Amino acid sequence: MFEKWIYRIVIVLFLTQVLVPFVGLVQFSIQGAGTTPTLSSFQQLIVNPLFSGSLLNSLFLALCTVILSIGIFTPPVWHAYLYAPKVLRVIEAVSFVPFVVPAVVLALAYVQFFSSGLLNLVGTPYLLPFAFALLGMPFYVQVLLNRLRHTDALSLHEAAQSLGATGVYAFMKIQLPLLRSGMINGGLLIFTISIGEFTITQLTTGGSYNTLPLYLMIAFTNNPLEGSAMAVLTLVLAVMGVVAALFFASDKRRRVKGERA
Amino acid sequence: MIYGPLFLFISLFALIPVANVIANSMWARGLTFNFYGQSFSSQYLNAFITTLKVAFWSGLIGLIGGAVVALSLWRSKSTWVTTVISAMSGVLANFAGLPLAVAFMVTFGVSGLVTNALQKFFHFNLSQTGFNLSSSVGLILVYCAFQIPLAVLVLLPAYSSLSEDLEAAALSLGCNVLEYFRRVLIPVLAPSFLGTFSLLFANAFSAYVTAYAIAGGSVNLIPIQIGYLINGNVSLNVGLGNALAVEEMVVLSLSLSLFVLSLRMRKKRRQRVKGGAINV
Repeated sequence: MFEKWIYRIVIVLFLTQVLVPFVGLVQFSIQGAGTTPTLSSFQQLIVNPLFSGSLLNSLFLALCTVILSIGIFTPPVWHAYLYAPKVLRVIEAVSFVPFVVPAVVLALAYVQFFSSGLLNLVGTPYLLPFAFALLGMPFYVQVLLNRLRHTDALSLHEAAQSLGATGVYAFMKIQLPLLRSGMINGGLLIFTISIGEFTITQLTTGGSYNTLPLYLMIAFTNNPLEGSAMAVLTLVLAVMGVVAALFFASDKRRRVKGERA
Repeated sequence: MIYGPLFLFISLFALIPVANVIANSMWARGLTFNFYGQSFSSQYLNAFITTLKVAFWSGLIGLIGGAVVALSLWRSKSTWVTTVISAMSGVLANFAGLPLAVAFMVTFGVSGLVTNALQKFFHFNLSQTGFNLSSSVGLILVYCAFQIPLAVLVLLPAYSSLSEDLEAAALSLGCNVLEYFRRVLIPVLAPSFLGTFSLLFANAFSAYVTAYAIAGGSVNLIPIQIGYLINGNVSLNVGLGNALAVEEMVVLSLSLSLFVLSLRMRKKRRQRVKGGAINV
């Protein structure tokens, strides 16, 4: 009994520790000049064209990154999982590059490598989807592999081909729907990473392309009220992403059970 | 053929630019180690030591905090609390960066929640004590807000993989709960703790955004110095930036190897006790 209470106290302390900054943030963002709470900082933010511009830029970048990642990661991971375990190990190993090469180092590398010749991309936003895809790669690959491990992809693929489907047709008609929940989950992770990325965006574009995190930094420096309102909105976006991912994860579990039965 | 785009992508956006950094760190019209020499001169050596310190302490506090919280969750055996807290930890561990920094700055700021609460209930003036978020101690405090949740996420599966028989055996041999923790649970989970620490360490060592937003120029850290060199706030010295980047990658590779080693240790222990009651 005594033991149980210690655990409860620890959990409550943990909750306090992690929630205090966020309660403080929300409280700060709704405190006006007077004593009554107000949503004016949110209103100001919504009508600010700089904010909506950065939001649109971020959403566009994130969407490009998701499409790019699904396009270049899904087919090779699927193929290697089914037919080439050795290649899969190589893919898994290189997908961990972002853990050894952090964003700052990547930015430094890009600034030097993409600064001349044909690939003179520093100062433009064109590098960003590739950089974000690289940062999200370990997560996307693991989510997709998890999905593959829960299905019998190989025998389904062979069955389709023995019934006369071509490899490409079987991949499009059977494998892609099978992998859909993995692609959605991984895509959501990539989306969240892209929406929140600051380091590479700031260091390679030199601030020429305004995204949500970049504008958050500027807004907070100029006007802490507006900046904190924006931080609240960004957090809400992130929580929505995680809730959506959880929703799809539970959907996945149900469907896997159905397949096994 | 099917692998072509992926390997082109990896080469163009990771391997070749990084190889270029490594090459340029020791090449300027001939082989040179000048940049490494500069990178160990006073200012940058200090940055290295401060970064190591912040990463070590936030990793250690994160590990201990996370281990205690995950233990409490596991022992309280309440599935819904565990689900809610792991979902929350998922958000917090991945959502460091700017919003977290902003949250801390306003909460501990002049009219922030914590500052006001301390003043109101304890008549304690935070700013008079000399406490400052933009210091290594302040940074460690902020880092803990994502390090502890990350440790909880990583350690929960480790605890739940422990067999109940292990505890029953220890208790029937006369251990009390604390002795069971100290003499069975901690040694059995030691590889997991080691792996978690190396993850947290690497996480803090490479953190840029949080440090940049909170401390800016007032805490001397390696990632911040690299960022300054790119932005040209200091007279641009690419070679020095490259040397710092290589050193950072070396430290991160070392802690990643430690993580892989801890996975091996865990596997070995599992094999050693295979078939027995201990399911580590």
